[in-house]
Amino acid sequence: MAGALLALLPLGYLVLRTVEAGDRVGAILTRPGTLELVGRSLALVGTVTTLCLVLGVGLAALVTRTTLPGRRVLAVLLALPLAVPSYVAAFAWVAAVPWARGFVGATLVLTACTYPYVYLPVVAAMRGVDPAQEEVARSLGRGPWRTFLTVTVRQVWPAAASGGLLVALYALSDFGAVSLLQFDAFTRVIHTSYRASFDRTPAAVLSLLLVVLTVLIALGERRSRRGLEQTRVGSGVSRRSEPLRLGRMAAAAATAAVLAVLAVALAFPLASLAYWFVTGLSAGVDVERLVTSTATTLLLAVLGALVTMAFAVPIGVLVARHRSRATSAIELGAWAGHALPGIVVALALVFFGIRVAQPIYQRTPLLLIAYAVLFLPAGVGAVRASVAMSSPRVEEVARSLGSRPLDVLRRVTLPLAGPGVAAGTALVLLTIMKELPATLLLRPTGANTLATSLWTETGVAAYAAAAPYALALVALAVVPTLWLMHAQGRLGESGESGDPCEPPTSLDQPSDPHRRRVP
Amino acid sequence: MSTVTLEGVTKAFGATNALDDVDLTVAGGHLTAVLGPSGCGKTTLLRVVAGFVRPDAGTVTVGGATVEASGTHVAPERRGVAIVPQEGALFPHLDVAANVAFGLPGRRRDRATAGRVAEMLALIGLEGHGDRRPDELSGGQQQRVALARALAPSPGVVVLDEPFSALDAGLRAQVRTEVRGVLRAIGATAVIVTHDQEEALSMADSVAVMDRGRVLMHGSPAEVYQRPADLVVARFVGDLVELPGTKAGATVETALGVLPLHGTAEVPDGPVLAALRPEQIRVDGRIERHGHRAHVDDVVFQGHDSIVRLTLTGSRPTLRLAARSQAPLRPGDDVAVRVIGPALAYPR
Repeated sequence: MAGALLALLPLGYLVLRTVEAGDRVGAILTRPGTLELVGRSLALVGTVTTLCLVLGVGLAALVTRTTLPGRRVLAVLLALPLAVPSYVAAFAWVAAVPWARGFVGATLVLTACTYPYVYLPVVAAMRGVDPAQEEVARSLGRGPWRTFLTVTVRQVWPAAASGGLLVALYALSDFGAVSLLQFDAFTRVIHTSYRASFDRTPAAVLSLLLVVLTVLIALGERRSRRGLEQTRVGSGVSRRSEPLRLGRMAAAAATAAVLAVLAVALAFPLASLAYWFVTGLSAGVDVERLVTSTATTLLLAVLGALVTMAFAVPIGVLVARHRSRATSAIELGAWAGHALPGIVVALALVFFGIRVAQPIYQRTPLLLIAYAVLFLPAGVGAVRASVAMSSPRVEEVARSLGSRPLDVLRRVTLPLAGPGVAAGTALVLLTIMKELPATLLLRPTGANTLATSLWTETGVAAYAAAAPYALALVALAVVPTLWLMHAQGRLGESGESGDPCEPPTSLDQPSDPHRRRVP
Repeated sequence: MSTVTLEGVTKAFGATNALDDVDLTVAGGHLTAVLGPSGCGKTTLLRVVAGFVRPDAGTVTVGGATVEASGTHVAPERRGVAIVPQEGALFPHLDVAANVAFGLPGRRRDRATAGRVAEMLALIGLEGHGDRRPDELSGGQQQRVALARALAPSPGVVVLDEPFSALDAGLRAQVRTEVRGVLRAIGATAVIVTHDQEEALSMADSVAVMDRGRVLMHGSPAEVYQRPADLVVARFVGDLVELPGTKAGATVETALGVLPLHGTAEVPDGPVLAALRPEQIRVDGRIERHGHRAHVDDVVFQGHDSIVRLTLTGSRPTLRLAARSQAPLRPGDDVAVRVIGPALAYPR
């Protein structure tokens, strides 16, 4: 209950601000700049999402369904851009290629950083899909291409669509990358408007408009999946499909395409960071600040993950096991945080901190609350999915053997959900490390994380000084990313012998409420 | 040795009556099978006894204690009713010994606990398998471990929900016999839910036949098979040959002659449906012998014998029969048929 209320706090505050503003709301909304802003943001979101869907589904098909050379290694490498925060990638591009700004740069960077959100669930879906449907289509006279487009893509569409939703929400709510690339998207304008004056009403009104857009996109995604949810009819373990043999030319072309994606999304940002790092070495690295920033990042991420999971575990168990109107309401409340971009939550909590919670304003507790609001859905989704994977029959057996409900939770439910809870924690840890806007606005006075240090240095174009923070951040973020992919693989395997209907973990969640929060 | 009684138990899910005023008494120490087609409410009945479903009305007692009545609901963990679900549902994070020890009061390493676990593993023939993980066991072994886990705390009642449906045919008969032996050895009251009539008839001390939320008949396996209470039960517990006929006293006149009847009181004289089991129809390839002539339509070979589908020659309207026969018959053969043993009669 408390978790759900917590998640609703920022939204409530925005509505309050907007209602207080009265007549001025209309004036702010009808300004020509506002409409232009909506158009610009939607154009970016549309382009990035389309590109990511094409890239994500295409790459997933290449590594799972063909004889592409080295596909096992490539499959892992292609997921790694997840560890590169979008503003780090943006910094790498801006520092190396000055023309990569505005719409083109933002599209490039956001696509390169977010296609794994589509790629990962689609890989899992393609591996889990029953090849019998494809075989039937082929035997009824459809060619391989038509079969892929009409049968396979339809089968994985729920997974691709929820991945696409994550991309769209990311693109809409991303703050760091668009700011560094000087593209006036929603979040950048909100931040500027908040910084520029003491009158915070325009920022609140624009935030609420952003929330409305987010909700509309989420509803659109839900519509697109209607009637397509996959159910396996009949029993038995599904077989692996026979991979498509690539000819020499096709294999070369496919390899080139995959390497090009890796070059843009992974190799180039890392090379650029390395270059600036080496350049900066001669001027000396502020080792002390680097160490304290790293320590602060770790500390905040661990604390944030603990607080978030402390709310997420009970909510996840509750919604997975006890379906009722009350639990649905709690779950819906928890998802409210999902619809809120980081900068909106941060702003709302700034208002809240100044007006109501002065004692914790610009102190660690308020920042931790912000993290909990932002990343609760990720944690709840992971816990819920892993609890739902084990059969409630197992818990009934424990009851019938004399265990009280709380003992059942301790002895059966939680040990079984362990890997899923761990994956959820890794995910929350990772996203908190990469989080920028909320940390920037709410961090304790004087504290610096890797993200904020990087932000400060790039703000004054001190690329060489910023590079160490960026590298440290990527190195730090790789750990939970690998952990996450490992947990996902393990869960995927056990999911095959167990219940094939339930998506394994948070990273591949075709079904609706398991979606992830984007940083 | 707990007796289980259900009185007037009713449970509706939306518009469907899963249980419709069910009365049932399961005698202490007996193995009772609840038999019915899927969706007849038998699993709901079992979950009511175990305490996972609260009925809308009615009372349930276990070993004399009321566990379910209006205003009373004893939690599942305090009923002494252990459940063996479909496919076993072993705890996947625990090894076999820890699974069996789950319901025991002491710690895993206690001598009493370890002794009881060893005893149970010996009972199910899995000595030395205590450190295996559930996924290293075959389906039949998992099922036996699930049974040992349920029996270890010596519950008054064990309920088994289609425990053998996940096993393949060869294994099923074997595990069935083993499970029956274990239950007998412990002397626990057991309720087993199944849709397989062969399983119910071969395993249980008594069989309750359910359909659409009601218990149609409860009796010994022989009673249920040979003297089914009505046509629905008769059709469900085995293949049935149905002949229209006219009842007169203790006999019925049919196209296969005048047949003696089981009992006479229930059905008034006049038009009835006479019912026979296929094994009561004898087929003879030498048609010159006495008997009624029939034409072989189809022969389904089953190993120990064959099911022979026949049309009675000259019958109007056409009358089809099924018989069991070991004779080497082929479709197209002309044969003689005769009936042995008494028929059953039901209102037409």
